[in-house]
Amino acid sequence: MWSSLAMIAVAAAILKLEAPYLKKRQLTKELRVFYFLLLSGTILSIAMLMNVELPNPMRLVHAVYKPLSDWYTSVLK
Amino acid sequence: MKHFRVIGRKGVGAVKRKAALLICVLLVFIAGCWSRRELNDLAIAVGFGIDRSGEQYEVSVQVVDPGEVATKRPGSQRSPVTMYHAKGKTVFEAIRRMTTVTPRKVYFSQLRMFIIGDELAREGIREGLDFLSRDHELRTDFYIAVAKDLTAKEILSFYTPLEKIPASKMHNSLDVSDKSWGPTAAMKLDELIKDLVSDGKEAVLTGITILGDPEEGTKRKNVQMIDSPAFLKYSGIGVFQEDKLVGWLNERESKGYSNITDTLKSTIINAPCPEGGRVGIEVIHSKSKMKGKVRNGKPEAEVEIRTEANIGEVECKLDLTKEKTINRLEQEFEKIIQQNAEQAIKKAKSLEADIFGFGEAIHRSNPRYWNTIKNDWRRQFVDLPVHIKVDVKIRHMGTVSSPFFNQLKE
Amino acid sequence: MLDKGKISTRQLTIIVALFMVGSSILIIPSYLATYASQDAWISALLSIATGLAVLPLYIALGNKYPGKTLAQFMEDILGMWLGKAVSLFFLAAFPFTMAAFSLRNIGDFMTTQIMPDTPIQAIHIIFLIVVIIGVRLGLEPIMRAAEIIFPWFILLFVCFVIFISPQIKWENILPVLEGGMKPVIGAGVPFTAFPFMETAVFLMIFPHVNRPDRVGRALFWGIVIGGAVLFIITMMSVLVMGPDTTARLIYPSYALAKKISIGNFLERIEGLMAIIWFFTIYFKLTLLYYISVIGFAQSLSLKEYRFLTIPLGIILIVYSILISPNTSFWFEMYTTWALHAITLGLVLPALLLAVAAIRGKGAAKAAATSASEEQTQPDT
Repeated sequence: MWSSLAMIAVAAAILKLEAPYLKKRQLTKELRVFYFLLLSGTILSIAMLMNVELPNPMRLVHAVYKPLSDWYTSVLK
Repeated sequence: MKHFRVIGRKGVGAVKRKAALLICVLLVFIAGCWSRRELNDLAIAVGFGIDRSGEQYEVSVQVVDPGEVATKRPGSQRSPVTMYHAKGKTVFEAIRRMTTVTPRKVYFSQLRMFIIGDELAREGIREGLDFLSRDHELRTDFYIAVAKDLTAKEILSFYTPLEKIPASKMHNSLDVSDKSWGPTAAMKLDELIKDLVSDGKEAVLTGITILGDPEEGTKRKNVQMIDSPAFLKYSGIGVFQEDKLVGWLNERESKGYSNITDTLKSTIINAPCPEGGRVGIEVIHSKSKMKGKVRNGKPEAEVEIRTEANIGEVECKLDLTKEKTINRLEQEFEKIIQQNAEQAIKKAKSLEADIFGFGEAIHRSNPRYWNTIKNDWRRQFVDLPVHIKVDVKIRHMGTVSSPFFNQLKE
Repeated sequence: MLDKGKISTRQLTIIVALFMVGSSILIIPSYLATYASQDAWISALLSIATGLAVLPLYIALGNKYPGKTLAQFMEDILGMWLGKAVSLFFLAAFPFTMAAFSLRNIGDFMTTQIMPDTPIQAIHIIFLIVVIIGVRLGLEPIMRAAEIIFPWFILLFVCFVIFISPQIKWENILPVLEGGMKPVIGAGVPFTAFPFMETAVFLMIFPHVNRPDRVGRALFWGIVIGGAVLFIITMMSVLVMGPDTTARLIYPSYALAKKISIGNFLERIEGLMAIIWFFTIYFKLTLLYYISVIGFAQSLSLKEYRFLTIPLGIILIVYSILISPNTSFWFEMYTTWALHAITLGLVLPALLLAVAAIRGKGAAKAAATSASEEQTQPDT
């Protein structure tokens, strides 16, 4: 609970740190990308802090290559 | 304009000097005090014990001999601490009577351990504790324990190797044990009183006992040998009903207790391997949450235990390089933790003492309902359904992958 | 240009060498010994050779689009939308994932061997803060730092080898080729993939080198030096501790460092040796993160990249925790990751080169015709 709030506080601090520079130079696309990434990052962090089971992309990679890998190990034996 | 003339001529200097003089006069009164006591008028007590002796209380105090402790040379034949005891109708009286034997007045602020004798604990500890909480000298940073099957006096007259002041040793060892071995409960005075007073939680105290021959332990010889014939040992958790000791939790049940009440910091858990042998994991993080609920007018409790562990020891042929093995192990340990918790609850129910604080949890979630059953909680607790959910995650396995004996020929 | 830094060929060599050593130095000897046993060193040599063999592919691809990074010329080859998509996918699946993995490596190492009670996130965050500082400063400062650190790295490494060499038992590599070449090659292929195929990410750095004609040479030497370090460590592990122990240990290099004992006086200095891998992992991680951030910015045609470092950093931390639920997971993933690395590090660049060649022919023709048109119509 508190860690999630701390995370939001950190995100707000980052916002305050980086956004003004972008706003001043009127880099709107950059600003939007920044908001998107910061939001994603904060949401993911809070999810992790609340012990939500996030999917692991490596499992997908493992699943995709497993047949090939199994063939390879059998060839080696 | 006229008042400024007072300061004007003789100058600010005059006022300054008057102020300085005033301060000096006051200092004389401030520096001294009525309640001063020099260090060499004090007998610093590190261990304090109360026992039942007939109709009276017997109080034992373990006092430090600073000369013996501070010296770097191996000491003379004197022991580093001394014990004094006295009897009295109240605890306070007994302590004052002790001044007939102590060369100095006992100073309690450095107290490390407070031991309650077994017999007295069974009768009720409230009287003994009142002095502790009321006296201004006493702080709340000492640990409290019950002398299991012994008197406090016997515990406090024990020689300990490695640590010159036995009470210090007891304190430190309880500290370390609490942090790295689950089944101990390091209790301080304020927590104890809070639990005693609370309707929804019963108190527990850790038990301290002597392994080996207690007689031998009181001799200096105990620390002159490499393998001492007697040791002080923390053993089990004592369960209280109100302020009376009613039973003990064994090691497994104590682990369960620590787990449920979220006081477990680190411990070792063993599980059998499918083909014989054992696997041991070291718990590195453990958190548990307790929730009280009321369903259909009946109370219920839920405990969620979340544990992270590393593999500490493998005594069978396991292939740790497969994630499936790890998952299987995680399930095994979840079962074991759950069983420990269930056993602890069963024991507590058989002693009719809610030591976990489920009552408190129900109070927190549903105060109105709690008010209706709190006077009957002891009996309600016996029928309380508790749902336990355990989640174990095994992270690392130390510095080697599979155990080397996987390659040994059987 | 997002980052106007220029780097010298020597700096490129150094960073490649440090990158190769990177996190591999911690775990490669164990892996090789598991599959090739006492012939692990032969595996290592083979892999280095293979890693070098693919260099020409990268050089050719890089030279086709001088002054452009991989993320940028991806669009030229595949068209704007496909190029951006493939580029983002590549960045996420390769450098970004490798960065998470490297971070996790140092975190795991610290919590396994040195500070077991520390929560791993703390180590990740602190390490990453320094990485982010480096990335924000730009490529040149990173390279210069690498240049400064490199001699110390070499010094520590050479000391390590010298100190451990009295304990070599040559019989540990006998009998040679006991299992034939099969296990040796078998172990070698995944090793080639990780870390050698990862060299592909350097395609993002090529434009910054101040002498583009010497890039190939810089890469070559970088791989040779890095590969040599890995080879020596593997060799030393097997020679001193034997193949069985090396295979069983998760961090054989650290165990090896623990064994250093000279004249009963120079002992227990494994902490000092661990500094070696701190350096190498730091530079590998910094470079990978830099590439990820710059690539991301280029794919989206952004004009600035520094603001991305912190939000992507948060995502990286989450990713690095997520990427492996426990140590066993990576044991199983070793071969599959290697295949993934080959796909993205070899197959993809090859495909890109092929497509670029086909397109190039068409474009060259068009350019030739327009050039000849200009020639026949001079402006005066």
